[in-house]
Amino acid sequence: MNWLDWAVLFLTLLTIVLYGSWKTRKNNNLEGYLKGNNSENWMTIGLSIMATQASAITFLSTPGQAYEEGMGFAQFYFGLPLAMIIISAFFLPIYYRLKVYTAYEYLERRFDGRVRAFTALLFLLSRGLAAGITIYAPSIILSTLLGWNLELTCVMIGGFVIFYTVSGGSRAVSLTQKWQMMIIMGGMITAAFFVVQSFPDTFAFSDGVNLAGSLGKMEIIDLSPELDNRYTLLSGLTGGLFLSLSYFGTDQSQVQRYLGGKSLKASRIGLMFNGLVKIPMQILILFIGVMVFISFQFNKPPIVFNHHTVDLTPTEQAELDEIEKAYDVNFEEKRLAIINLPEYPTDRDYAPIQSMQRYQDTLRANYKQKLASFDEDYEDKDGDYIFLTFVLDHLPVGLIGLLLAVIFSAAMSSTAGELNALASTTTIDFYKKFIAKSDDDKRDLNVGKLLTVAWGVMAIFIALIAGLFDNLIELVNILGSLFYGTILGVFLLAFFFKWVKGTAAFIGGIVGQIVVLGIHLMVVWGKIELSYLMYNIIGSGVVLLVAMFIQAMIGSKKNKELIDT
Amino acid sequence: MIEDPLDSKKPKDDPTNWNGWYMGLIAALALQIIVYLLITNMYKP
Repeated sequence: MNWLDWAVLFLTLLTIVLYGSWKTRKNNNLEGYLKGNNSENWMTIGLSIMATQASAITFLSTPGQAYEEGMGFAQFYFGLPLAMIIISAFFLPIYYRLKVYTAYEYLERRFDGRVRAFTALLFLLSRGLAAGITIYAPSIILSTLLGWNLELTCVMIGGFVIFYTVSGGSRAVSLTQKWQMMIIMGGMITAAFFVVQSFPDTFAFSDGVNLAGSLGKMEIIDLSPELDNRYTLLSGLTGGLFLSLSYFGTDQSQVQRYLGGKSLKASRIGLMFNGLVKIPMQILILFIGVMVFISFQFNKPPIVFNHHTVDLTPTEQAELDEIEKAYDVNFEEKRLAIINLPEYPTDRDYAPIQSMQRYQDTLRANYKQKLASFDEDYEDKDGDYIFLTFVLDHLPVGLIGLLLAVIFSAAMSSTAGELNALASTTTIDFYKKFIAKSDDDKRDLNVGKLLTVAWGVMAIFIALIAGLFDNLIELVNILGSLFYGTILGVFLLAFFFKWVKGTAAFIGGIVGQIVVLGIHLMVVWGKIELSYLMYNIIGSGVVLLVAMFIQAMIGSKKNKELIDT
Repeated sequence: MIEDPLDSKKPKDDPTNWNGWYMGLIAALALQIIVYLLITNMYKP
């Protein structure tokens, strides 16, 4: 990497981190540390919410997803604006009125301590593991493509985050996230410009969009009603709504962001801002992936984007070389066919290109399959490496540093939000609840800081050992979707079913969790096909139904006892 | 006991028409879906 890229990368990161720490250096009480003394405006809240959600992997894997499967992934976010409205109208006023630090604190006031501890524990379990993966996932990609030391990359990201999160608390997290998000958006828009610039002079932007359409990459909306298809309009509006509702309404890493608002109004506008901007932002990132795909029609992409880890025998290498030779010939023929397209191409003109693209995809799949059979550690999903490969090979010096700063900023902003929330939940829902019930602001502040360091060290530790477990990333992602439905169900009971009390909610939560785990096992064993987005609907549905049933039973039993006496 | 959110009164110092904001956001979502549907159909292979 050029020295200019290093300079851009480190200057960008250091400036933001030092700015965040300096601006929040006078933090000296627990409320300031965990809620930023309610001083954030709507813009900071909105950007901070977006930055917490968008991890580095969002910017690495989303363009890769569009490259391979088109833009349908955008539908995943269609339920998000509706969730913002529900949270703004029903969740937020209660959190504000009760002046809670964590979302789970509210559950004790509404139900009892068991329900609070149960949901807080589910949060700590899933988010604690996820924080490690937020650091590990980009580190493994950066270390593979740039030859960096994996452990050092993990420690560097984690170390930076611990530094400013511990020193400035929630306010430092929000302030740095605001600037990190601006760097991220600026970097991605600049990248989009340079991707289109990489097309040949005779090939206009509109030609690129038409070609992408003919190769099936511009299909944003899928109207099919199947529930096992991951990304459709229906699953986005229903499953996406429930997922967004649980994530933004009940996950402390998000709740903490908007609880730091200077007023209810500022927090609400911040949520509206997220609802308005999130889908276009995802569309832009996906569209960059589609344009990278078009650029790779002229600049030959590697047959696979990641590397194998073992030395191959000459026979194995020869088998791969044979596929690669066919791939090269096919690529060149396709490139010429695209360059020679008429000014106004028809479906008939596109037909041979479509056929050659299908052949290219088949060769790529065969190559990966062979590699996986030669090297059992080879990860045959290489989509996460596509965008960074393009950045490193085709973007000018200086911009590579900026794009790496985008990836680091995204990793740091979401990790910071997670550490801040993990520390708050442990401090408020466990330490202050079970260990030190009396108020001692200085002691509590120090405990909050110490817990932030502890969770940060834990996240780095998980990142360092993540490589030892093949499916850890997948496991962590699944863990998140397994728990969200249950947590949301409990919160929906709290907000909308006033007659349901603590015992019923607690039993409902446990039954809901068992049902979701059972359904997940059936999916894993191939007994049923179901999109994981549906876990949220099923989980919260079971919690609601069981809790209402139990409450009705308790109610009728009490009535009977009253009559008997 | 927690007050039902549906019964909660709008804060007196906030005259903002939130229903207007919510309808605006729903309209923006609907408009985006229509635009994306048009793009999908326009560029169908």
